[in-house]
Amino acid sequence: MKDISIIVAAISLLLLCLPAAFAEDANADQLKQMITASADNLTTYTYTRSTETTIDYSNKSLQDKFSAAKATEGKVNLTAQSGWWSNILTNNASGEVLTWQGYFSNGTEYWKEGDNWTKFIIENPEEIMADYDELVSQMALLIYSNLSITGTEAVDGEDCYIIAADPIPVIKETILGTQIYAAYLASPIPMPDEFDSQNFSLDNTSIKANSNVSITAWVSKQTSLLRRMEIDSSITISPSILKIEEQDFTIKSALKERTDYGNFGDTVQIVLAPESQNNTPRTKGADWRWAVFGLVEP
Amino acid sequence: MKSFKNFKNFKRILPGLTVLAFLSSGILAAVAEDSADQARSYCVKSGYLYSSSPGINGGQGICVFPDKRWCDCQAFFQGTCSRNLNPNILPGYASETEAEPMWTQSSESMCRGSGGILRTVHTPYGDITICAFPDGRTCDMKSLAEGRCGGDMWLTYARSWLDAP
Repeated sequence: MKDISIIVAAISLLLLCLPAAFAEDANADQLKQMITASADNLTTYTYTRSTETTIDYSNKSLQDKFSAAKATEGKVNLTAQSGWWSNILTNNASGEVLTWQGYFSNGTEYWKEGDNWTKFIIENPEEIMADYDELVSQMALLIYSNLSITGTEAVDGEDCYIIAADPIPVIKETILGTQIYAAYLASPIPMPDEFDSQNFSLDNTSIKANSNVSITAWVSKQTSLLRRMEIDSSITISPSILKIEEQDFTIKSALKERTDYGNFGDTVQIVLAPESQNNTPRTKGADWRWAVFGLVEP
Repeated sequence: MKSFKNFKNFKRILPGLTVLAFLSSGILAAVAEDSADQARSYCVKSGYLYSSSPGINGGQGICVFPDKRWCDCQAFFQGTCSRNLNPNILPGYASETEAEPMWTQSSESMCRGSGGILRTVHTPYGDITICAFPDGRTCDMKSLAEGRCGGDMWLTYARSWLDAP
């Protein structure tokens, strides 16, 4: 009888140790599976995100710089299918600040910009809820990347794997491609004539050689939930890099985004302010979202 | 029509557009759309240029492709536009049938019809949607709509972004 007790104790000890051993030895593929599974029972969470960007412009006659920062907070309640986010965007050069918030509750979305409320009449609440569910789309960024564990570190006291992620080409090119054109939108240097041509094609090899997209994630050892993600993207463009005939210029663009997740499973309530009832309803499509901020021609 | 040729018009809304470069995916997400808006949105999101002019297509909106060809925007949205899509982009198990040629399907239906699933992926410039096939291949929805998988994504997204109203 005593022998049986010893054996049972030994087996129990072994079973207790197995998950820890598994976690310590988790490879990239296992991590992807664990990360994916971690969201299955997710009910609520909150997040904060900071984004900074700088763009340096120079040619033989000018030196200019654009710098902006965005601070974001968000709450998500997957059980109640509701969410909230707040953005504060600051143009560091002009001091201009743009603030706005989004609410999704009871199948309706509201935006608040300044004191103005806009109500969006929507037909596909699932799609809107998916937009508010930031964690899932950031986890997808990991799933569609080559992962390597580079170390461990505690985030808010929780042991995490530090994971370096190299996204698949389509994601990387999308980030960098948009970054190029985003740089031109604030540029004192005119966009090259070549860009007007629908047949123009950017030189991938040259751009890749002058750019970098770096993603680092912190994933909980215990729950496999994403706790933090940092995205750094930088690119330098010039006529020679773009392989175009143009007067010499250089544009250096750098973007850094950091998102922290937490309060998993805690109480999250999305409460609309009474003033939201004094809103302007919109029944049009995504185009109108842009119009909310007066950014488009009527 | 908003296009690269009208780039200078963007100058006066540069600060705002630049702001939008940093908005999260929620900003760019679609909300309820009526039919015309859905068609326009689908065209733009597919990486093409939307245009409407009294002298073209009876004033109805058109979707202009990189090779300068165009199609009625509603027809493109409904998948009845005769774009020459290359069926080779789809995996071997894709259901290619004579009765329902590939070019009559939207990229979403092409994805799902091949056993793929749509995945939303975060980027600092907004979420993108990709089709993940069961064999592990992934295609961007914009290129899938264009009849290819992958290719020059640099311009595809930039153009749709610039073309956004």
